Amino acid sequence: MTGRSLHDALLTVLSDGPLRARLLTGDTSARGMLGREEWVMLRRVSVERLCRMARFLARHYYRERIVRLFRHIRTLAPHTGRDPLAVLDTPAGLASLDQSVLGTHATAERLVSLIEDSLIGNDAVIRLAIPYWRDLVRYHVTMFRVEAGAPLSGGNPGGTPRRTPSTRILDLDCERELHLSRSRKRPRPACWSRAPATGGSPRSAAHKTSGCWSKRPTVSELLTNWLG
Amino acid sequence: MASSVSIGAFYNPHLALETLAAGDLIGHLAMADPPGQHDPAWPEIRARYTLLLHDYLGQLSEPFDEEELGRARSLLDQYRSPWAAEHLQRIRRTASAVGNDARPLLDYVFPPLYTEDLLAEYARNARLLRDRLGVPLAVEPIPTYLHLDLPQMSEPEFLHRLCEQSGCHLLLDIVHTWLSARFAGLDPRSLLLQLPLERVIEMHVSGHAPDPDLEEPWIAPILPNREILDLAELAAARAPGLRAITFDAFSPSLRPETLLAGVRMLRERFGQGA
Repeated sequence: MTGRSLHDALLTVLSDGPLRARLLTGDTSARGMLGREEWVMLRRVSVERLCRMARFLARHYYRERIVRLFRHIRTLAPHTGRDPLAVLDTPAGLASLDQSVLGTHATAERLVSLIEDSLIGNDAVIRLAIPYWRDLVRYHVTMFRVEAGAPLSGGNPGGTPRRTPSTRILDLDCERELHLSRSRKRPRPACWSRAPATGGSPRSAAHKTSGCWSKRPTVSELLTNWLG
Repeated sequence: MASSVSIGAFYNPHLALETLAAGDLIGHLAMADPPGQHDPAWPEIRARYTLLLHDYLGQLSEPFDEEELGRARSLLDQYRSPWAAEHLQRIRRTASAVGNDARPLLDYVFPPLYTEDLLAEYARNARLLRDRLGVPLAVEPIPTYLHLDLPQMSEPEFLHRLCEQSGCHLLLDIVHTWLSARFAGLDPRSLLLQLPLERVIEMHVSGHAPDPDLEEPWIAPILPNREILDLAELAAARAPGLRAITFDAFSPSLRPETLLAGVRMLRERFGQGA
């Protein structure tokens, strides 16, 4: 065992909730993934502090993505009373953090489902005031699905965007209405507002994902392209 | 303390206008992220301030490839940064051990273990990076919340040896040191004085607040309290190479009044008040 191998194992345990649970319950099947000596060493770490640190790191990981990828929804939070970040402090959100495997699609999906439910549940009043609310939620939810999971191989760095397993097709009611109004040379529909921008610059230079709005009239195709 | 020490802040793009309007209050800006492509204030920010490259590459325990080095060099040139700083952290695993996956596993600072093998690798890569960048390189230690029952060096010993072997400087974050001492059950002043203060080129000062997950204090983008300012003053008095003190607050939720109050507080404490 080296400092490097032990630290690798520590990072793995901190970022993988199910694996951490197996370690803490003494399930020896985790030894193969961590290394035998590393497993023994990590079994001696304070369980409480290990779990606290893991939740702390998971919260940072997803908080940063929620802030960045739901920024327009969050801007409206003073008016709607719905802040997607609040999900992380609910019992279900905390459980998701504790069971998370950072950067995986499964964890991103679990969290974004909680967020989406919290945003669109009983939202009739919000939709009256903000007719494009559901579209906005769907847009942000899609961006989160695309980016909060692990980037998948199959992208085309520097080349023409192409579909990858994390590509999502998003058909927005509001955009379709806009297209119709343009073709009939009518004024913009009331629901129209500027198309939300893409997610902004990621903090990590090694982790870049791009999204773009299609120019086609009725379908916005969000393409993700792993840039390396 | 020498008046040649610059007192500044982090560049928070959402506070660009307030930063520019502050006149000479802010002496330099540390750059946590590369400038945004559509940041309208960037040209003026770049023209007016000394900019400090901060934690661009992310992990000194792994060798850098030419592309990474090139990007760092390019950013350094763009900033005209007099030195570069990197966190002394480890947030991704050995790529070859996980299918050559070099992505960061964590998205937040996390310290390495202070072992001989990692020291050798940090020293080698830091030396290489410093040579390639052609400017001093400062490393910023991260507090250790999670202690492993493993024979390893103390943080001060690791830092002394790393600086000695790599020729690096130290970016001393006062709250980090305060937290490291707290988590290790040590007196913060005593720990501080064991560090290679003669290597300090830049100092970060901010506040701390209780963290509900850790159930311990953690770094926060708020004003420092008196204990932190006293520690900063103690460090500065023993750091002859100190050239910049940065109010370490970088957050999209940071308010302009906090940013400006933090810099003013540091100016007053370090004898550069208006």
